[in-house]
Amino acid sequence: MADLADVSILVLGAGGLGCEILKNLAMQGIPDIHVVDMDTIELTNLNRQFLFRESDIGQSKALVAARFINEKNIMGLGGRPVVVTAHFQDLTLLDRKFIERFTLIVSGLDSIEARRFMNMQLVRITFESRFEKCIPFIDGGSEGLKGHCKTIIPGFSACYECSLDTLPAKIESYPLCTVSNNPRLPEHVIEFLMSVQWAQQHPDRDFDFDSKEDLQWLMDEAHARARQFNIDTSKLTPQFVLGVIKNIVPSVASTNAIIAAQCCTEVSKLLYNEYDIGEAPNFLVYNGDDGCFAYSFVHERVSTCLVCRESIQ
Amino acid sequence: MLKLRQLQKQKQEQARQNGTIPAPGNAPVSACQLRLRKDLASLDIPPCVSIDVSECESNSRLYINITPDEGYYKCGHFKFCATFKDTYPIEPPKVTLLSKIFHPNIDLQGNVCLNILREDWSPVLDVQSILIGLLMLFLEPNATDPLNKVAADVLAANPHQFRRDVATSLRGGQVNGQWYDRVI
Ligand SMILES: [Zn+2]
Repeated sequence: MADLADVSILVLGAGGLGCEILKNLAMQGIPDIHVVDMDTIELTNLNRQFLFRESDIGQSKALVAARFINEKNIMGLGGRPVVVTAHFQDLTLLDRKFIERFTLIVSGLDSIEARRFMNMQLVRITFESRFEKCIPFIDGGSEGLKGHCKTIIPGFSACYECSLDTLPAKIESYPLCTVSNNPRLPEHVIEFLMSVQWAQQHPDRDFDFDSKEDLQWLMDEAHARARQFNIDTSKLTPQFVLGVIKNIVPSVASTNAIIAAQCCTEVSKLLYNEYDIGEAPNFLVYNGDDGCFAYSFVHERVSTCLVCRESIQ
Repeated sequence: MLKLRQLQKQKQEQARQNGTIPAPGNAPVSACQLRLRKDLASLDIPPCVSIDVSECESNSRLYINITPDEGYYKCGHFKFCATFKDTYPIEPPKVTLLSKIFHPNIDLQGNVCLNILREDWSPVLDVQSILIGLLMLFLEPNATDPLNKVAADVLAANPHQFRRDVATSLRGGQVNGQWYDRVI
């Protein structure tokens, strides 16, 4: 047990999933926890991100989550107090030396690009240290009533990139001919504006999701186009339009709790040597859409994987 | 973490015995770039297609030249631009035709209606699938789900007239009051 007091874990994301993961790890007594998140707290987060209160709105998620847990004065493994350190920043800017100091990394992100980035960093750390260093990466994901947990041992078991082909298409899209000529739904109108008309009117730049003017352009054009095709404009509220362009799937507290629990169980199994690398099921999928269903299986490493394949030097 | 540390030791021991050490197979570029390079390395290009890598402004833009050797568009030179964002291959590249064409599935601005570039895209598809998809558009233009309605109506009503209209447009002529780019 001696080395358990030296365990340090980096948590990626302090959103719905991240809050649950942080709470679980703290209650498990992990003494040194770091969390990185560049988002600030919004009113709509409060129904499921239980470490935040109304008075925290506008503040950094990472900082508030860390403060909340630190104020509880939890005693951790080896008699060390649980301390959470916050990093209010973009995780793709974390430097390699910083990442290397952790025992494990647990992610509760919603961005595939950020996961691909971290996966690649960790695989390279294993290879470049000639297997001296190996930092397991436990990746949780939740979308509506569905979720997954992947346990990646870089250099030993399937990496995130190995399973990329199994990801569902990220955005629901409609045939171009339908959205151009026969739009029937408000979604068709928005998709036409975003994938055709924007580029025609603004060939020099991409749509800026944070720009008030760009969103106003979208709202105005959407109403005009909907009227042109006799589509009901009452659905075209700013919330609806944002939901369509950002592909917002409702985040469900129970899914987050289930996936976070699975991630933290994987942490325990690794720390307490109850995990047979290469033999234990490394991927779990959960589906609460229709009843409640979870399935775990071994995802084999892909020998041609662009990130973790080996060349012999 | 004892079990993992033991495995790491084993791996290092093996390496010492064999005198070899596994290393990553690739230079540190983004995963999207790696995938794109792999796509390009494994291309099996039909004779009527060429890819301009020399004209690449950045690593994530490709120019695809197609000169169909049969069908309505035989001998026309068509240049497409494919832009790959760092979300590739989770999201498809954006593909546009750079010249004005009279075609039921490509509009006058060069937007292409091809299912695998939108609703039927999947990360298992690659640059090769896109080449084949674009080629099929020239061999079998499809009038049932049109992007250019005028062209689709002509094709559906009178294929002979469509053939004449396409020939006119390829030479840079005018069809239904619209001038086209000369591509022959
Ligand atoms: Zn891999």
